[in-house]
Amino acid sequence: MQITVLFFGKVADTLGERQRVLDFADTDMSLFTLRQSVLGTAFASGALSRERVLMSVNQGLTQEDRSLQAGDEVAFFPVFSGG
Amino acid sequence: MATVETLLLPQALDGQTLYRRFVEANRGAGAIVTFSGRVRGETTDGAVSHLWLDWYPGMTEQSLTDIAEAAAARFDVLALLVAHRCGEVQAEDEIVFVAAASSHRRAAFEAADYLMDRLKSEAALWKREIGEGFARWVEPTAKDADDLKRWT
Repeated sequence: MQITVLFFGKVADTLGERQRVLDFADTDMSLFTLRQSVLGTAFASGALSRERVLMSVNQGLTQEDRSLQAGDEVAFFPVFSGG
Repeated sequence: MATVETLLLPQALDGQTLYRRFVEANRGAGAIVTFSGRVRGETTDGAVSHLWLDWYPGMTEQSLTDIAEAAAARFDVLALLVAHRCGEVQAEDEIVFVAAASSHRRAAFEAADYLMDRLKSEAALWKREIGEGFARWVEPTAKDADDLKRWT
């Protein structure tokens, strides 16, 4: 299944990209697994902190146990800082 | 139900023009409170030349709307306006402008205060300060978290 992954703020900076389209053979996947495959290295090196990275599916904030479906738009980004 | 307008602006934000328009649209209001947030020219790292405000098209606009609608439901206001910049914002330029109209002053003061506390921590925006010899992503402070707790 195909998943579009977007990155914003410091997460985009750290990875050096803003968007990635991934194709998974597995059709039963959680956001936890996707996050590990995309950000695992950055977490391990300390470049990003797992606690400070939020995630959304189809533009709604969600948690890591969320299961994904083909065509979902996933995004990873730091805690917000507006105003 | 109060009138709610939210704007996400990649170009210049002109609070004075927004204020005049807001007053014109709310002639019957007994109280109008506005807040204009500006980019500080100095931080502990040194002089800031500009900010980069990253945003998520669609989600960012929705976050502004959600915050403004929550304020409209919570306070006895006639109208609310929230305008926020995104993209590159120069030092000393306006980054955010909020306006609240109500029959009496208290609700307008409180609504503007509430809007700003929530925008700081819950608007889907990511702020990077850029100056001579430094650039850093800004995260909400403990103070911002305390400000937000005032309303829970």
